[in-house]
Amino acid sequence: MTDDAKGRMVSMLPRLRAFALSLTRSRTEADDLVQAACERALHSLHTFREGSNFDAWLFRILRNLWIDGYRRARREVLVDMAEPEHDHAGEDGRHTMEARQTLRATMRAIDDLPEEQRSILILICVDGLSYRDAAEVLDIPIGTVMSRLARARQYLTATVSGNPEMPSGQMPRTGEAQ
Amino acid sequence: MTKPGMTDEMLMAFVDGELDEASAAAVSSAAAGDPELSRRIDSFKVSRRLAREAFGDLLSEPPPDRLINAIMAADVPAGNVVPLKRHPRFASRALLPLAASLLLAVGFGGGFWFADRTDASGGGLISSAGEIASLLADRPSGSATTVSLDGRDANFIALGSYRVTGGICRMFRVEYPQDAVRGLACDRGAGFSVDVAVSEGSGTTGFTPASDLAASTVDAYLDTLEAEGPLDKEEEGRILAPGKAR
Repeated sequence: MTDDAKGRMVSMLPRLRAFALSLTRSRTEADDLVQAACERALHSLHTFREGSNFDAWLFRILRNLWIDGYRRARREVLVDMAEPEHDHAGEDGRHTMEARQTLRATMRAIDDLPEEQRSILILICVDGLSYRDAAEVLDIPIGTVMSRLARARQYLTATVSGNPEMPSGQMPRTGEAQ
Repeated sequence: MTKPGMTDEMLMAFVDGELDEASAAAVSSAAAGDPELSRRIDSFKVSRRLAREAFGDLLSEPPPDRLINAIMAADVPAGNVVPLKRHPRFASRALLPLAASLLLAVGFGGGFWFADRTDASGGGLISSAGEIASLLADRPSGSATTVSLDGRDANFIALGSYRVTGGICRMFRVEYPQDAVRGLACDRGAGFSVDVAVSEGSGTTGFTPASDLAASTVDAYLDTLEAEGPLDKEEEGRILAPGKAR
């Protein structure tokens, strides 16, 4: 039903915004992209196959819109990707400082990732998609999803936590291991 | 010494719950006696937590009104009607910031009451919860009953009954002269109590139409309870009858 679809879209907004931010790296552009994707999806409901995964379908529309138009038209310098907004007044100062440093280091590491790895990381670790659904969104084999995701996560841990297997600052490879 | 064959992808899939039962048991068993393997597994747990925390603000903050308005106001071409499967994986987490963005939530008995930010009826809803629960114990869906709730005349309508994990829930609507409330009450063995109620308001939230939001919010709440489709009259009759059969 149309109301079902609208209600589902509204309930998905936080996750759609997270994925859009990982693509655009600008909160304003991310919200524009989410709005365009939802409007496109509502006008294309007839293309949704009954019984298939609505979430994956909508994430895929969003990504395709990004590839088709937004990425081409975007400005070059647009990095406002998630500075922490919590007011930690009154919390333990040292703990708060460490938490902020970790958060900043994480955001920088995610920002460093090649887009194809960043998208998979967000879809699976943030938005909660299964490997299979992420593969459907990105139109790639599930093995590719797993190899890209593993590399992205190894880089993230290495950069933020100092994993000796991948020294901090070493860029993740963009090649595939099928 | 790390066991041969334990690839990074396999360990990651173990952490993400993507392995079948036998493979997961094999990884778990191997990790028990292998500190290096345990360290690699922990690394994937840490990366998942870091990524999630990095987007914590965005996931927990209410989405902007303009996005919600754009979705609810969008025209959908005729014929674009498809049934959706229930049980979205994240409906519960996503629902609450949504409701908070539009509605004033008032704590109530472990459930949630949502009232229009500018509507004073929230307090009335709370004091009427017991009477609403009593009405739902025997009124069949589709029936309308004129009642007095919180000192106001109201039309009470039971809208449907649903099996959920652990019990039965019933959807209802209360129509007051100036506004209306839609909600869900559930019986998990101790009688009906109201879990969620949403004021449809009078259009003063700046969100139009508020009735769509109320319906969507209650539907999404049903999703989080893994509700099945509505019971037919016969099934519902057995539930409402004395000595009800569940």
